Parts: sequence; C-alpha cells; structure tokens
Amino acid sequence: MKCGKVRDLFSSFAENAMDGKLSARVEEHLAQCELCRRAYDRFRTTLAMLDSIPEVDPPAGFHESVMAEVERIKRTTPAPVKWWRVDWQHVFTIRVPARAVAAAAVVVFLFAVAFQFSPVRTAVANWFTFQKPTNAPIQYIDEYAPPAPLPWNPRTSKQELLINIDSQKPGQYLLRLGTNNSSPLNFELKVGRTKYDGSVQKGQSSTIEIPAPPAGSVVVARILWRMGEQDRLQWIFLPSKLKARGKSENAILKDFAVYDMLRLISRQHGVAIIASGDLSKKIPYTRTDHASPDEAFYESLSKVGMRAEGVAESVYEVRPTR
Amino acid sequence: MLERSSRLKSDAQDRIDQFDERVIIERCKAGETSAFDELVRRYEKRVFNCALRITGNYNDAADVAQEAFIRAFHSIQTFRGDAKFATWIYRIVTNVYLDERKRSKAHRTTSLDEAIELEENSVTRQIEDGAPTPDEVVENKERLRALQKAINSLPDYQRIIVTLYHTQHRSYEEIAEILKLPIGTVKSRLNRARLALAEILESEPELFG
Repeated sequence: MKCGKVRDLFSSFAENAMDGKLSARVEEHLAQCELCRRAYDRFRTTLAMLDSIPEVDPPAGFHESVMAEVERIKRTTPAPVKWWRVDWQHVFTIRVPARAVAAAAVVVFLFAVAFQFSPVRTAVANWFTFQKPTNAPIQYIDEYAPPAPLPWNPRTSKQELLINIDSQKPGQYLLRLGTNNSSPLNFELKVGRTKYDGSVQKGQSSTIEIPAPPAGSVVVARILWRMGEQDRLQWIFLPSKLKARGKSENAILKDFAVYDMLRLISRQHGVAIIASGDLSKKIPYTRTDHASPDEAFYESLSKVGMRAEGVAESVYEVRPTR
Repeated sequence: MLERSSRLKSDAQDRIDQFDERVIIERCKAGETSAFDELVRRYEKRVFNCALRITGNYNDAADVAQEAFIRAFHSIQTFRGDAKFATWIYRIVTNVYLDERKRSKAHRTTSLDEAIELEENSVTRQIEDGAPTPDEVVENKERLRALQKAINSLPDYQRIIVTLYHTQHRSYEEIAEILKLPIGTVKSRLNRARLALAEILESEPELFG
C-alpha cells in the first residue's frame, strides 16, 4: 500500500471504522514506514487536541440582544390574519344600518363632485404628475454661491447634468447644477411640494437652495432633465448633516426598494447620494454590519444590477451597471 | 480510540428532549415569544461556539450567531420537524457564515486582540476549574491559539466540518444533512482537514511535540 493511500485512511483507521483486512494492511504499512508512523502519531495528537477545544460562554448580553431584535421584528411586522381564523359567520351576519350607508354614499358623491371643480384637484394632480412641465416660478439663486469649478465630472456623457452639493452653510444645501454641454439643458427639480424649473448650459450654472431636513430624516430632491428627446430622472438624497466618511452603523435590509435603502444609508451614514435608474427594484436580504457606506452600497446594489461610487467626501453616486 | 459515545446522551433521554422541543417549536410557530426565548436559551451556547470556531474570532461569532437566530425566527414556520432542530439551526449558522463570507470581499482577519480575548476567556474558565498549574494554563492557551490559527487557515468547508465534528460532536450523517453533502465527501474532507492541521501543527513542535 502506498503512503498517500494510507494517509487517506487515517481517519477510518483511527476511528476503527474499516474492515479487519484493510486495517491489517494499514498496520503493516505503519510498521514498515517511519514517515507514515510519525505522521499518524501527529494525526492522533491533532485529533485529541481538536476534541479538547474548550467551550466558551456567549458574550454577556448576547441572549438579551437576540431577544431584543426578535421583539423589534415582532413589533414592526404585524402578524398576518389568517383567513381561516376569521369568524366568517359573524362577517355575514353583521347588521348594517341602511340609512347610515345611504347617507355616507351621498356625502361621498357630493364630495367627489365638489372635488372635480375645486382648486385642490389641480394641486393634487400637480403633486402626482410633477414630470409634466408647468409654469411654476423659476428660481435662479445664483447669488448664493460664487461660480467655482465643479468638483467632480461624471465620466459617462458630455451631456450629463453636473451636480455639485455644497453644505458649507449650516442648515441648508446648495445644489449647483451645471453642464459641459454648450446647448441648453432644461431641468425640473422638485423637493417635496416645491418645484424649480430652469436650464443650464456650459458656463451658466444654476444654484438652488434646499433647506436641510431635521435631524434623523432625509430630504429627497428629484431632478428631471431633458436634452432633446432624452429624459432622465435623478434623485438626490440629503441627510440632515453630512458626516465624515468612515462612520459605521448596522443595518439589516429586507425587502427594501433601492429607494428606501438609499434613504436609510443617507440618514445612517450622513452621506448625500445622487441616484439614477430604477429605484423601485427590491433588494434581497442584505445585512450591513458596521460596514462603511462603500461596502453597504457595493453589496446590496450589486444584487440588483446597480453600482455605487464615492465621488466626493460624503457624496456617492448610484447608477445602473452598464 | 475516540470516545465519542460517552458524549452522546442515552436514546430515551434524547427522545424526551426532542418531544419537549417539538412542543416548544409549535409554540414558537403560534407566535409565543417566550417559547422562542427558551429555544435561544437552549441553543445559544452551541450556536455561539460553533460560530466562534468557524469564524475564528469573538466579534464575528456573536454577529453570525445572532443573525442565525434571527433567520431562524423569520423562518420557524418553514421548519417542518422532519430533521432535528439542531441540524436545522446548524445549517442556518453555516449558511449565515457562508453568505457573510461571500458578502465581504476582504478576507477574514483575526486580530491579535480578539485572539487574546478569546484565550483569556478560556483561561479564566480553566482557572475556575482549578485543575491545571499556571504553566499548564499558559501552555494550553498557546496551544489553543495555535490550533485556532491552524483551523482558520483551512478552506471554509473543511473548517465547518472540523467544527461540527470535533466541537459540536455531530455525526457524519448529521454533518452530511447539515451541509447537504454526500457522507463520503464529508469523510474525505474531514480527513484532509485533519491531515492539514497535523501538518501545520508539526511546525510548532514546542507546543505539540
């Protein structure tokens, strides 16, 4: 028997788990081969050591931490009501006051009619269709910031809208939009209910002041920009305050849309994020353990065909992978 | 030869425990948090120690162990009970670990501090036991450190198999079920891992001579 074959059988030999004939051949080999005999001794010592690895207690507070997380999950995910547990008999025998139902129907009808002709309808319609150009006031607020070179250049296209996020003034962001393109590039920027229309071209940028959100929340600016026939939508997530990079916190992401994840990461890590692409995609279960924003982005976004890149201190860009 | 049978409980006791456990699991499925609390209490030491030997350090072990319990909580409804709960939870632990590994591009690093923390822990235990002399304690500590380092250097699957077999006392059949691998593969990988460990440990004859 060759040495290699004998060594393949060490475990079975040590555990007495081979038939007598084979076992005798291994023994015979060990008696003759000094090298294998030494190797087998070492092997036995190793087994003994592995078997004597001590058990340790989990860290203090481990149990409580697991149960606290379980409680949190329970609180945030209501137990589904199972259809077979519903008292169906009761459902079909509920007594409904007929007059009240009729009165409610009339009220709803009147309200719907009134709504058709009220200014509220226009406001609601505008809110849902911000992509339609409207005649909302255009605010050029260039006087807030002196023109300076944009700090970074997206590498993809000359027509690209350049976005500069300035957070020097506490409590507000200055978004400066610009382009390297010589023909005008129209944009609509919407933050909450406030809308800005404008256009930029090479050498003529536009600056918009956006109040920083209260601590712990994130404001999302949506920019629709047009170049000829081409429309593009970008989102900018702005936390209450930009933190220096490297600060890390835990997050468990499950069934989140990219949009929600970016809000979360912007808030938790205090970074601004400029995003484009389909943000409604659901990210599969992802956990970011004390990960830096780079890592969290990289991992969760790669699962939905997108990628993130740090473009400046505390500013990230997210876009679909080409 | 190896004394594995001494660690195994009697069949009858095992059956009682399993029945007891099935009741607890049914209560978990019905949404009783206290039942899940009991389940965590029963398994936390095993799960943590398994994670500790697989990840090779204390912090990652705590994260992997916690995550495993959270996954178990999320999917307890899908636990059908045709396998032992232990088998199921070990499978979750290894999956959590392998997922995390896939997730982090950077390779695992075992910091010296963590290794020391781990050893201190086992040292205190040994002192409490009262048996070994201080010299033996130091030597054991060194040995454990060298051994964990050697285990850390094994490929993922070999490390997991070594952990399940030697520290969690799982049988070949159970490991095959946990990892969804043929028994032959489990056996040959364990043998290879043991040979590799023996090889590594030979380079420290003062500890293992």
